[in-house]
Amino acid sequence: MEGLSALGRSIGSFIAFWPIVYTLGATLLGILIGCMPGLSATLGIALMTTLTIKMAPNDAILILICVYVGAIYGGSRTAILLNIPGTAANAAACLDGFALAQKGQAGRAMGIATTGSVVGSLFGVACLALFTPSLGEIALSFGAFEFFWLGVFGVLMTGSLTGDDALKGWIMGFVGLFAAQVGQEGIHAFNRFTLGSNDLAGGISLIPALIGAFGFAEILMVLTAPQAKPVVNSVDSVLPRFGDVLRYWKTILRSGVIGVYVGILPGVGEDMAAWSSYAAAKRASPERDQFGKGSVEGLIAAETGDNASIPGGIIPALALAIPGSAPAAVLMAAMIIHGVQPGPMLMVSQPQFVYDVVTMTLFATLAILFFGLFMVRPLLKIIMVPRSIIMPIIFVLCTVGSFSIASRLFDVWIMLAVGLCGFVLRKLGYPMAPFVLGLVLGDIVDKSLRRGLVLSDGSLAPFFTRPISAVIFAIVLFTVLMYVPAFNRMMRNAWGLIWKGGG
Amino acid sequence: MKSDTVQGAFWIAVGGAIFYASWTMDRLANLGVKPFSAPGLLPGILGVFIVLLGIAMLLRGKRQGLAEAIEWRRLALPIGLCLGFAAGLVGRGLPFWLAAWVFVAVMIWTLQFKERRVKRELGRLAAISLSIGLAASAAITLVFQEVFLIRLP
Repeated sequence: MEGLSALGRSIGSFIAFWPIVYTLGATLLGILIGCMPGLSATLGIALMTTLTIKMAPNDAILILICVYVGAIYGGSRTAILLNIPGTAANAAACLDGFALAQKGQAGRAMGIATTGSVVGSLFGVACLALFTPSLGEIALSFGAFEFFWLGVFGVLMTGSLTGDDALKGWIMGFVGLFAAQVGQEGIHAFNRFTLGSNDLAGGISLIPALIGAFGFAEILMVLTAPQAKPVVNSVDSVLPRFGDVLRYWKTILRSGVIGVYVGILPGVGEDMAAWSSYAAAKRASPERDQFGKGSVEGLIAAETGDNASIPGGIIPALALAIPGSAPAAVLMAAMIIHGVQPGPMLMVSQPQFVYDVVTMTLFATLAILFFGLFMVRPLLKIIMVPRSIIMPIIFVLCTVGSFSIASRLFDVWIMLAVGLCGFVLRKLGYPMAPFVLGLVLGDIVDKSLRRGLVLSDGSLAPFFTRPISAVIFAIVLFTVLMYVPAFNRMMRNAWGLIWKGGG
Repeated sequence: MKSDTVQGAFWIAVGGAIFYASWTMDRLANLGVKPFSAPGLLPGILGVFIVLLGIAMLLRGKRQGLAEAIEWRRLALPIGLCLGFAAGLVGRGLPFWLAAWVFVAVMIWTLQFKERRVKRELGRLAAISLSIGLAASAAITLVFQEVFLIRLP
């Protein structure tokens, strides 16, 4: 009841002229960012963090959440029309969305994507409102030992599930954790790996590093890829068909649950949510032979899953300060910049803020419904703009964005260095998301490890014997061991025997 | 040589260097800091894990050959222009709007040059590059500096 009245207060405070203008403007901007292959939700939030740095915290975070939701939704446009996902989260939508477009049903596909995105987001928003306070309450019993393992778990999970090669993902996660150690550390104020540089003593700033990894590196990636041309220049009606929604309500519900669950897992992003929802829908569907050939159910599953994972990813960011995905990591960093400290104490110190975030996500969802229905044709024109025009402008924004956080040129050099290294590493098959998670979680992992050891007077035992610590450690160990071929074979055999025995 | 072998060796060297730097880092014993709270503890552990993952990569030795896929020759000019703008022009006294205008115009010219030369549209390309560059730099300067009150480099 208390939660409902807090939510009511939040909604009341956001129904005003400027919040509505910010919602519409930022969601539209997010959709445009999502529409352009090469621009990710992470980059969009990072750039907007710099632009909104002088705004009031609630206005700035409203804008960032709208950009986030808009970008993930907007990526489905290029997935449907170009067969290129606007963001990684829309890769699953390519399979059936593009097939529908080729059949002359691009408008219907976009209507389905809009429906799936809106329903998925609404489901996620409900979970955000319900689970964040409860998770925050549970997290109040967490100590340094649990936070250490949660941080490690987040980095390892991202490493395992993003990209094709877990080994490379883990390396990037550890490199990210290391990068976070550069500069003055938070316990004894000792300068680590600064090579005598005053600039490095301030550490590698998150936003410039992110802009490098997702902006400059992405610009170079796009410049090396061939440009695709849209297969359709006109679309049929984009109005969602209620028959489609009612017919696939089970798929929508299942995808929503999967999306939120995957979102909550530390470090596992929207792309994994979309693929998991798609795979689950395919397994359960009587029309599974239609998947990949223009299945409405497949498209609805993918889009519901990725959008439901957005609020899902914000849940652990708010309650535990462990972001559920790379864009949620930037959002969390932006909250810290604006004076909000996510973590277990958030529900104690600023309980209203959690409901404000719920309201912001709700507003962003309503805005994508509005733009999804009424802004289809103008948005089609955006994806026709040549990348040779877009990319130089994006690079100027990357430079300004890196500089404006702290007004120091050193951050621009960080952006360039991370961007160039990120480009080479991505070409070699190393994913960037684990690096980002490592960079965000490095401080919490370092402080939790050393604080835990101080509390236990140097004993490692509490890291493995405290109940929650032991469970998270077991999951971490199991995740790593599953990549050891002998252990993996053994588990598969054991699983097979259990199934046979059961059958 | 196999791609994984080279990359594995690289990560072993990186992890080894991190471990060495962490091991030799001041442990602040003179301040009464206990060894398990020393600043180099986590970086040292990370160095060890990076070495172990490098060894795993080295032993796996899959041939991937992606390193050759980077078209450095084609990218050299765009990368050079980006570095020239961000590290050379910006913050060196030139007004930001002018630096951004020059960069965007030259970059568009460079990226579209081949295609437009074939179509004999170099004059049009020059006009397009200059006008888009001016519009973009004016819009960015106005939005950041005047609307959102952000200091530009």
